[in-house]
Amino acid sequence: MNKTRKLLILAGMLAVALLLGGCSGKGFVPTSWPGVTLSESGDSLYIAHNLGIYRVSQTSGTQQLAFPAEGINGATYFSAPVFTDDGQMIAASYNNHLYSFDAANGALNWEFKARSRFIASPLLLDGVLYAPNADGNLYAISLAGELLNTFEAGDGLWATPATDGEAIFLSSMDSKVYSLAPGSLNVNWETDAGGAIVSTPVIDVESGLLYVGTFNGEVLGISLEVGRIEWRAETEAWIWGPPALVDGTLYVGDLDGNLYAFEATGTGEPVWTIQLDGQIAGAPLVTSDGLYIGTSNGNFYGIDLNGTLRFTKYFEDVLLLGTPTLVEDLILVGSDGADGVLMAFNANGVVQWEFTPEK
Amino acid sequence: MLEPIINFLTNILVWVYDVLGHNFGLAIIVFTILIRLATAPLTKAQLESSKKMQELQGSKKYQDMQKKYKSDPQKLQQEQAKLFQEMGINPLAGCLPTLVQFPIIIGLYWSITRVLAASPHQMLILMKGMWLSNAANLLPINNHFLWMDLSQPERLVLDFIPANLPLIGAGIPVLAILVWITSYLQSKMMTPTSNNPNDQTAAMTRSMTTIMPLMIAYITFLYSAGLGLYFLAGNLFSIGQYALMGKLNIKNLIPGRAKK
Repeated sequence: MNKTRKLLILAGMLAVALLLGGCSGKGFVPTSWPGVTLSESGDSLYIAHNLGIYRVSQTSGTQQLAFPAEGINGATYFSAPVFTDDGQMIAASYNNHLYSFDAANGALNWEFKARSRFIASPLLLDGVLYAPNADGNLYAISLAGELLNTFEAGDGLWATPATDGEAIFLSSMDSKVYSLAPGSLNVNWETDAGGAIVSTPVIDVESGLLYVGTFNGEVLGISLEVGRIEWRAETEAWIWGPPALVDGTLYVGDLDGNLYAFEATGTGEPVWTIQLDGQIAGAPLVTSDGLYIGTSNGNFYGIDLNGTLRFTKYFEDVLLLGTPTLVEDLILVGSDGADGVLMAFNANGVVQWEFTPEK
Repeated sequence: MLEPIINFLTNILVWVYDVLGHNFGLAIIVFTILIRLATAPLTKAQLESSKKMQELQGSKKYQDMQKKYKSDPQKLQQEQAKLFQEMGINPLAGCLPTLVQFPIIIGLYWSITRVLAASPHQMLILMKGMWLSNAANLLPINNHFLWMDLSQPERLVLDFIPANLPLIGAGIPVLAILVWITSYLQSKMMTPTSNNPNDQTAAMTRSMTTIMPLMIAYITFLYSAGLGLYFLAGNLFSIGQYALMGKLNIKNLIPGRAKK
């Protein structure tokens, strides 16, 4: 066989491999958007994105440190890291592992392996990590990395559980919300919400309700005590992100780009709706100035509390899908695009800095 | 470019999943068979064209021509073109069906990957393209089929098998092994044997029948079990299809007893 033919075979195989492997010519295909945790001192951010977790200056967006100290083959991180009092940084990974790193130097302390991906961050409660996994299990893990207990839901768990200190509230892709006893993981109650849930329930101890949005296009107010659905409100499309609860009003976006305000108590009456461009996958940030949210079409919006659009900023080839976070006077939004994985805006939507991990 | 095809196939696949009682493994198998049935006429045309070409290349006239114009490739090309015309053979007829099938097969592959939606971005893309009215009740897909999680690389974990086997980790990659065997059988049994020892096409085909099954098995080993199931169903369908058409060269499997 001559050289040309050999090259032709190789080229053909490469073409098939690239097509099957998903190389669309755009390079890296993201699997999620970055998770962000503010450091205890408040001057640094920890950003989990793809191959690493990066400590970044909050004021300038410059990288200070990268975790882990030594790369782990196949490990990718997209959920916000969790810090323990004894100096551990807990990182959920898409390679089915939960890792504990030394928060000071990035050295690996321990690892815990499950059957599927850790999409969301664990909940830390009373010295125990409650780690949701896509295999449908909630793993209770000690701070030494030992499995203490397991609760099995009917489908994947993609959301960090919430707690009121008394119970753990878990939303699942099996359409249910569970209330579990910490430690034993015994079920206090379970409620069928009518559609898969991929976001953390929002708890309001004062009203005694928790709030979730579902793939079935509904927002529900559920009793914390007994799990009864107190009210449900319809939306135009599927809901991905959690609602934001401020002063008795729930703000939530759907995957058709509608942003809603509902009364959080009573019957969940709609207050206003505004149509934005692109999918909304995060909870809006609500401040005294108004609401801020990004969409999958690269738009960043500022909206008044009465639902009037204040500004739109468009960024080409950027997905602004994370929940915006307020750090001092900066609004941070996780992004996926050619230039950076986190964007910092001021209250008028002007970019202050962008963070891209150093190579 | 492939997006409309992938989107269309994705919706059909989810619909099949719904019809089959929310069994995604079965949906992949049935869907693969349906697509292969739809493209069967193209496969048949391709086979017939390949056969004609094979017969021509084995003929004395063709081989004499190769020898005669060995040192003049341009003249050889002209004479070959004349011969093709005389015998009513279109040399591209073997490639065209493949070119038509290729986007469909790749689209099918991508639609399975998309429906499995193992990450938030993949799930958002899936949701964006769904036009089935009851899609909200169907997603996420139930990924469990037999012992497999179809969104994860397949490994059969048995109590008596050590947890950390060298190279493969925990469990036996049964699906990758089955894909390798069926891909090898398929390519061996469906490859016509050349009488000409100098036939470069035959030499190229021999290399392909060794390398391609290994490559597909390796993809199955690395990627989700759903894709492996698709490869396996496709291989078994092709073997069955060729058998029904009487095109299988069983003797190709026995060393030294290739069909003459």
